[in-house]
Amino acid sequence: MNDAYHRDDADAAGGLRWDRRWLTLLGDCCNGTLDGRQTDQLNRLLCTDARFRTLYTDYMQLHASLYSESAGMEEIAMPESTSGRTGAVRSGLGESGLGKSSIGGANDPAAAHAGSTSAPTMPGPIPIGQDSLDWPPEKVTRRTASQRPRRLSPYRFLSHSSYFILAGILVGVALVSSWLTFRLTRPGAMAPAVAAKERDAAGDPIGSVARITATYNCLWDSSAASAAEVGYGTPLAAGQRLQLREGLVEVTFRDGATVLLEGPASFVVDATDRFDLQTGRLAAVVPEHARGFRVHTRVLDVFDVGTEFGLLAQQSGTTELHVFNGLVKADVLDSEGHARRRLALGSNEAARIHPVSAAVEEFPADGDKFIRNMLPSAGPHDGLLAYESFDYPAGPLAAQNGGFGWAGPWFNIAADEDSGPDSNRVGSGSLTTTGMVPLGNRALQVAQHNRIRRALACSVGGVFDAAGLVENQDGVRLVGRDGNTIYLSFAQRVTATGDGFYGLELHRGDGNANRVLSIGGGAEGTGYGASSNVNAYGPGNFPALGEETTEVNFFVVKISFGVDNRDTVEIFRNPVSLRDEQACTVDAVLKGNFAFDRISLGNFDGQKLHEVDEIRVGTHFLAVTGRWGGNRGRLLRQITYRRPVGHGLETTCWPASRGIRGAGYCSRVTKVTRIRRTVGNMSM
Amino acid sequence: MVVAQDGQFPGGPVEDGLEGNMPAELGSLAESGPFSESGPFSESTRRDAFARLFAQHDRWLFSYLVTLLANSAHAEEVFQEVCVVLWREHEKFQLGTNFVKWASVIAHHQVQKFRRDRKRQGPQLSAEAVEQLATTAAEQANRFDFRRAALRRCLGKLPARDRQLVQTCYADSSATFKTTAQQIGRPVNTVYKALNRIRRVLHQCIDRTLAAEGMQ
Repeated sequence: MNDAYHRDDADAAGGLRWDRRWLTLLGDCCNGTLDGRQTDQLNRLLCTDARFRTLYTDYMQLHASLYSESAGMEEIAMPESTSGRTGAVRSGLGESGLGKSSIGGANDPAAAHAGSTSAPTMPGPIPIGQDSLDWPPEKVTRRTASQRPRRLSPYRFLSHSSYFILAGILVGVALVSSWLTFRLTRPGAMAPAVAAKERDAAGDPIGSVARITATYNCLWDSSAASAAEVGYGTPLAAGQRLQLREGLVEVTFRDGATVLLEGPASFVVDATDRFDLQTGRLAAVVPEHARGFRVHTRVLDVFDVGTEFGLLAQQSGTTELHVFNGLVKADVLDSEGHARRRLALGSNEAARIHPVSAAVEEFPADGDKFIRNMLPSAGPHDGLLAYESFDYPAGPLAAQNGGFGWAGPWFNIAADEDSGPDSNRVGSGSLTTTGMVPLGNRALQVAQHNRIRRALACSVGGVFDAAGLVENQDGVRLVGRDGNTIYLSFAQRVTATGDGFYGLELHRGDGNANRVLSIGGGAEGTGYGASSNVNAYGPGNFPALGEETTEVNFFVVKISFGVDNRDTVEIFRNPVSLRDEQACTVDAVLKGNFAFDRISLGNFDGQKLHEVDEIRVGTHFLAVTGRWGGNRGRLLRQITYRRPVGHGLETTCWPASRGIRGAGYCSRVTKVTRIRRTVGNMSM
Repeated sequence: MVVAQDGQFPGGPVEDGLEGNMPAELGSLAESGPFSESGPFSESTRRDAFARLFAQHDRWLFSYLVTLLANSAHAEEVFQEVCVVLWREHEKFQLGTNFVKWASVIAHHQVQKFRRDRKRQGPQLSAEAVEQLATTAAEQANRFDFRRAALRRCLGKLPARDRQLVQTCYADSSATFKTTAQQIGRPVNTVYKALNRIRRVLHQCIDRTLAAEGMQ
């Protein structure tokens, strides 16, 4: 292979020099920005110059390898970088610490060329990483409650000398800014408006009112000017009109409402709380704090919406409104757009409105008419090992046995004598939080001497055993094998604060003494926070979780199982991102032995009601936040291969993840599949 | 070069490409491999061995496709088709022979099929260039693992922010860098330039690393 290179140009360190026009051409090729002239040049070089072909091959192999290596980059040795918890990645210029001795350097033609396209003009070594891109944006920096986030310098496009002068001036500003940021991001201070503001700071274009947070085989109408620009992750501006020809798309509004649209659909995103459905079918989830959300159709103006409803706007103008949970009010409009009649529909009620007569038919809601979530599977998948959506009819919770990843049904441990065993029950409707699309109903404890639990599948061959997460402690099989990490998420609400003990608990066997972790209020005389009987976290040392509220709180609990049962629990209360763990603030940390085998719901003392919903246990953050995107656990793209007519079968293949060594696999599914999946990406 | 010539599959059916004449094709390749004596294998042993080979070379396979298509999204698409064919035809692969060579023939053929069946918009490599590259890329397959190992070390030397840029931009091979730039709220050209710089530096670093180890 040696003779393929310009040996004459080899530098002292053994590196090889290349014509920088070639490198630019290859860079543009990797970026996908080649124009016709460059393509001709590339083709000519590839056909006539063996040295260029070798360079091209190396370069494209590098380009391709970065896709696989990027998934495992956290494992790559990073001697000069800061670590995860304290790892606020420095965003200033010229602090890479890398000179010629590592990569790049004064004799590096690539670095020299970089100087021609970006800021550095100083003589001497050019540290790599010096260019006009300030990276990463602050949103990807993981912060703990005790750390003050750093702001990006507005002077990042200036040269070094100017930067250092201005850096001193900025110190004072940064301190004030950091203090303010800390005040705003401390536990319990994350109001929805603040969260929205942070997303702005994180890079959403100013003026965007919503974002496409999931797609499923979307085909957009090509006649729309912006069709090519729309897809997963696209921020949507006020007034933006979209036409979905085929597939499913989930749009999450700034105010917190989520709509899932099924193509064909034509709609306009009006504002952070307004949506115009011209034609199509949608299912909406509106958290409590987004109650002002409105949806407009030709004949209906839906407002004061409850938690979940479906809307079908046909081409003819006929509109159906189905309410799944909560109360929804709507004005029936005439052809002039004037309100003629007001509807108020409760749970499981529906109405059909005819455009000409404005006649209204009422009938029972039909949830099967709408696709209400984009879960790709009904069993363990993508790192999600156990799931409980409380998809049971309202009534007793004990003996209910749905979801997956469990060893048996819900079992009553305690129930108030006067209220009876049904006081551990299933309540109608879900707990909703921004970005989460709940299924089914919710768990509800209506009495004050109640505990109900459900064991996870830790037996030999069970879900957790198969995932290599089970260890044996004192003869009990527990989730918690050394070196593994488990994530747990759930939504929780309590109707009164400071009103005695309640919590979602992790146990190893039943009984108070076996309570590994409790998240809620008042356990063992503590306040609102996390406690652990097994690890002696009590009133004197329990980590608080901020101000207790009667709102729905969404928790993500990360348990890192260390050697010799030296485990670490990190708790995120209402994490700012459902996609990027690094962007979230850890609200509480506990150390000890946290292996467990069951999840319990407890409610004692006082008069409050305790509600829990959407319990997920998985192996990574995205698995339990219901979002599949980014590097880890992403839902891989699936392409359906159509066999020649007559087979009646399709072959569906999942590629091997190049981030994770292993082969892809194929399965056969019947041809009734209506929608071919291309990319299932979800993010928040 | 065997790969380029064999990749033509003269007279092969258009739809699936490998039906019919593939066994003979693969047979000739198998015999030309470095280990022509393959003993009897049970079906499960064959399948396991094939899976291991596939897992060992899947990254190379993807890079081979990126090289021939000059487009990662297209490569992702063809990669899946290649996986289908590889697994469908895995019984025809003779264990002990050269898997890379066998897989490259199939991959090359799928690239040709992809280019023929689907009229792609925008600039693309000429047929002649693709043929030349198929030869070069297959010849260089043996050093792929060395370069990738060097790449890992070089990535470890990158500044954290460059690493994060790479991590973000290369998270999804079906997404464009333009889309990613928009998602992170950065000017597209700035991201392009930064990626160009990072790739150049990494390429240089890999060359230096291999040279230092006497492998260049």
